[in-house]
Amino acid sequence: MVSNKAFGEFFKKKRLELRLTLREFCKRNNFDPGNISKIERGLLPPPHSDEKRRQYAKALKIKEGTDDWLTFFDLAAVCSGSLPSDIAEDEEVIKALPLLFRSIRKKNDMEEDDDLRNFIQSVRKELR
Amino acid sequence: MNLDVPRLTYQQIKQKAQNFLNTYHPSLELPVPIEEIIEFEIGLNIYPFPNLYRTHRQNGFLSSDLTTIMVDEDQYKYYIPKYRFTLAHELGHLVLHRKIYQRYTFSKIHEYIEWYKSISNWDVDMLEWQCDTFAGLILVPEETLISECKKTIGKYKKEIKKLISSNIEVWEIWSYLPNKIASVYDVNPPVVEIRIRNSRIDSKVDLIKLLEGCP
Repeated sequence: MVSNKAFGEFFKKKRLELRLTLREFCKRNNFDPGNISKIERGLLPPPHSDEKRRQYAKALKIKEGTDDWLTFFDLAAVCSGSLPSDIAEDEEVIKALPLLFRSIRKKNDMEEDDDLRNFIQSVRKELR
Repeated sequence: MNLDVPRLTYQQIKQKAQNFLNTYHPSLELPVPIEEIIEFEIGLNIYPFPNLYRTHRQNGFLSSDLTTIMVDEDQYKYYIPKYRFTLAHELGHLVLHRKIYQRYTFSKIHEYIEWYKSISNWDVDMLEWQCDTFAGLILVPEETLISECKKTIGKYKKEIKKLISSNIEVWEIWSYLPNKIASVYDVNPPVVEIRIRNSRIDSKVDLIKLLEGCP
């Protein structure tokens, strides 16, 4: 099965071809940057509605009837069937976690442990 | 645990920042388009992370697989100068600390937690300082700083002269000027103040001489 990644990667490739940052692309089209970033990283499946898919294709300046149009809709159809599990696997979470950061540092060991676990939980949540 | 931190001097970081700018933004047009460089040239993803600062006191972070910069969503939306610094800081980890990221990989969360708790604050702070320094050098390029300072002094000659005649010292003027320069770089004033200090601009630009001829 093709993962959401294939659609997301194609989406991102087309956006970068337009030389639009995530911010500018979302601003021009009134999209939520968090959602678009998640779609591009394969964390959200392509939208189910044809209307929304067409809206994205239009925003990406993909012309109807072109090879890119077919690829976009083929990938959207295939990838929308691959729903990620509700909870991100540990390996996936670890890849998203920072290696170097300084804020979660407490004098108290237990407090530090709790804060770190809460932080990991927040990161896990953002992967879905 | 010993992180084997690279002991980079200011001069070494400066060299790396200059190499970076030569490669990705040789025109030095201001403000440095850090978001574009990160997305178009380096190919990293950016993700506005809801409540990252409010809940965890984190401005942003580079994911350990080196693919994504997560940044506090409020900062992404509303505090652009701060956001730009966060991006440049995290980019610093990629440029300066790639080997550390490649050296430590984990398969279980508890391994990650144990590792994180075993590294010293001193080492982490040293790495963070390196990235802050790198970020300042990228966003406020050395080659542009002298001319921007001269331009600003020229623009505010009268005001500066008044300050000096009211016993404000020259170093205080240098501390105040960043408020008038920061917008050119789209950063917060303290970033420019630190850059002026670290590059010793006050010894390269004769402020008093530039005020000559001003009534």
